[in-house]
Amino acid sequence: MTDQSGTRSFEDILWQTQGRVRAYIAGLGISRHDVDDLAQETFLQLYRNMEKIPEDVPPEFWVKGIAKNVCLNHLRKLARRGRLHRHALAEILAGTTTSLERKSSHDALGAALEDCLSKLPPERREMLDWRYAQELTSDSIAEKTESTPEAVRVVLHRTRAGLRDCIAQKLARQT
Amino acid sequence: MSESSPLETILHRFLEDRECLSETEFQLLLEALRTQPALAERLKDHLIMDEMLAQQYAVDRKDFVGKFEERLRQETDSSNTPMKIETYSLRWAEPAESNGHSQQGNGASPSKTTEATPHPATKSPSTTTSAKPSNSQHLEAAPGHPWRNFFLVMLGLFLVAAGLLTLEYTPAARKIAEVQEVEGMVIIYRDDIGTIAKEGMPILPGDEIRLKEDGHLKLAYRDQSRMEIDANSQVVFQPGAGNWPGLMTVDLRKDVFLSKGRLSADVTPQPTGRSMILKTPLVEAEVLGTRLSLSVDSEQSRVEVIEGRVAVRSEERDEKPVELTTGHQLVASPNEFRITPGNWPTNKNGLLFLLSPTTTVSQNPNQGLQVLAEGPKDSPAILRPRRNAVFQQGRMQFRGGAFLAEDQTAQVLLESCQKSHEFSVETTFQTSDVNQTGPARWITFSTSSHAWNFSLAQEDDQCILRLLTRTKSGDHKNELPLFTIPDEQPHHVVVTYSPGNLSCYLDGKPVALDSRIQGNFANWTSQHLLFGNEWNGDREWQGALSGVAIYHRVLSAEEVARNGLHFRLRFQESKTETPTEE
Repeated sequence: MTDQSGTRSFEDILWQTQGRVRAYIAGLGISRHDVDDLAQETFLQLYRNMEKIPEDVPPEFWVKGIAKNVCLNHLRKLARRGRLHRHALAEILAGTTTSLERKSSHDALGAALEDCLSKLPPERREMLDWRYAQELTSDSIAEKTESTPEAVRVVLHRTRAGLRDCIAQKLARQT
Repeated sequence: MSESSPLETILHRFLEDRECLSETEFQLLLEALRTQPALAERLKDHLIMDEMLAQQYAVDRKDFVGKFEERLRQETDSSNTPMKIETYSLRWAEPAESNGHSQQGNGASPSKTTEATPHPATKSPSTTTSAKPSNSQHLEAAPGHPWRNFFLVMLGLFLVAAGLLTLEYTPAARKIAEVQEVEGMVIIYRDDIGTIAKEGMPILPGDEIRLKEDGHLKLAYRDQSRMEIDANSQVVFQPGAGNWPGLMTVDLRKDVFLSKGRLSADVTPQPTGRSMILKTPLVEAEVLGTRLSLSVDSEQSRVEVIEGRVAVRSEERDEKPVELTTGHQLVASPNEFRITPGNWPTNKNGLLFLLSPTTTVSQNPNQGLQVLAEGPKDSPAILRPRRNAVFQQGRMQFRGGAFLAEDQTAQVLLESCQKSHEFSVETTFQTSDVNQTGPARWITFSTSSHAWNFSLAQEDDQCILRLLTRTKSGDHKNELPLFTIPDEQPHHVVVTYSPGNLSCYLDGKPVALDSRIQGNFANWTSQHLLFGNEWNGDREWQGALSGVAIYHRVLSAEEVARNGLHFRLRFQESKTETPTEE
């Protein structure tokens, strides 16, 4: 993430960390529709303060620090209802480091996800497509599959857990 | 914790919608997370996976960097605008009485009028909202300096005159065209100094452009004319040619000399006497407004008119210019000067199989009858007849038989399409009966009615396409009608596909555009390439096919139209070759 003169390039940091920074923000329990806005705010702050990144700190670590502050500030500004709960949740999750997170600095994360997705049975891939590409609710998916919303949520939960384990194994092998 | 426990249900619901929990449920979740670090870790992993899947699947989440750059640009623009206005207002900040400000000192000292640093006093709304009008007010109101305005006017006139005179000699004024796009190595030589071409560079009279084997250049003229120059070309923009818009606006003709390689031009209608002149060592083409291409090799020059008319004159023969019309080309060499229909196919890039009407047939006791079609890069692609299929008058004619391509041809087709995930099929068909069922196969890459990669076929009076694709959600056996077969006459048809973009053209015009078919060819398997019937012989078609071409790329609409026209002019209409001189 350094250019030929040894300095960090904002563009490189943006390209290389944006996916994981957005995942980090989502990992604090932020609503999905707010994740990209807060990530943009994070990178704007980084852009304005590039010179403040200490030499010995990995840029991604620094960006995630900014992201955490941006998210906590955002939660403080929310309407009173639920604000304290959401703030508390973000604090708990920010203090939790998962095995996936520890490995997610690896550049091969995206490729590992694609690889693991390709190994899913077609019906699981179809359900992910409904949920994430078409953004259907579990109620709508349940209607399609003649199931119940809770059953759909359980299937999605298991699918995500399976993908997480698959990615973790792949990254462990590579490292 | 079981998957149906209340806490687990809350967790699942929260993962689906972060806003859906009640206060009590949220409280319950928080307490559990505080006391069970493993649960917090699991929730965070799921939140991260949820986000990664959203990034992977949701179309509106994919271009984060593009959206961020747009926001950054907006933020930067909005933060810069006031600075510019402050600078304007500062130049004419005194005397301040005219806009109600009280400032120390008066008179427009040179140092102050050119000062670029914003002054706090200029940040008032009145100066930042309308900087320019206030300038003129300041000029008119300047008291105590009767000669200042006079000197300023004279200075302004002098600067304008000097600027215009200088402008005549600046690259901006002498610019003939501008580099719009550049790929690979393209060098522009000006006064014997070579510069690597970059987007936005002006092309001046006398410039010579050389393109290496990986080079490609697009130029844009001031009048919206466009020129594309291909690899390994050498072009000189003749001195004296150009468009000078200075004090004395003079439109000069656009003279371009192509010494080797190929260029194509889309020329907007030119004023009388100012046409574009394209020259090669052997011909001179005068273009009044048309689309054409020009190519030169060591033996001949070729001018092809894509649309419109071009007058072409031989450099070596003292004759009147000949007129070339759409779809025709002129070939000039030291020994010949003749007009023929354009080539078919127009562009052999990505060609995997070609059966031209000029294809030859061989017959020997060991191999039997063989039709010697063409594979990639002029390699042979042999077809063998089955039952009642014959190759006569440049056409495959079917009365209950088929032509089968060798396995090697089918394998190349499979591998190439699986690499590009695109393809185009072109043919001219003539059905013997507009009501045939099966679907009766025209061109099929298959083994049976159940195992196919693609099929182009006739069902009743419909031309139908079958296409096997794979998306993230699985394998898809797509089948859809493309058009109604108009009659029992020959018709040119082209089907092109790239993921999400299916197009079909009948006689050069689009008849079907479909974005519903998605996916690539990752699930294609080894099949047989046949014409006129299915591999197992149970889907025969009665009719004739000619001019079959299969590509591992998508043909553009323009290329389809040109191919259809060239095929008709070259092979279907009466002899069109009209040598002007032998």
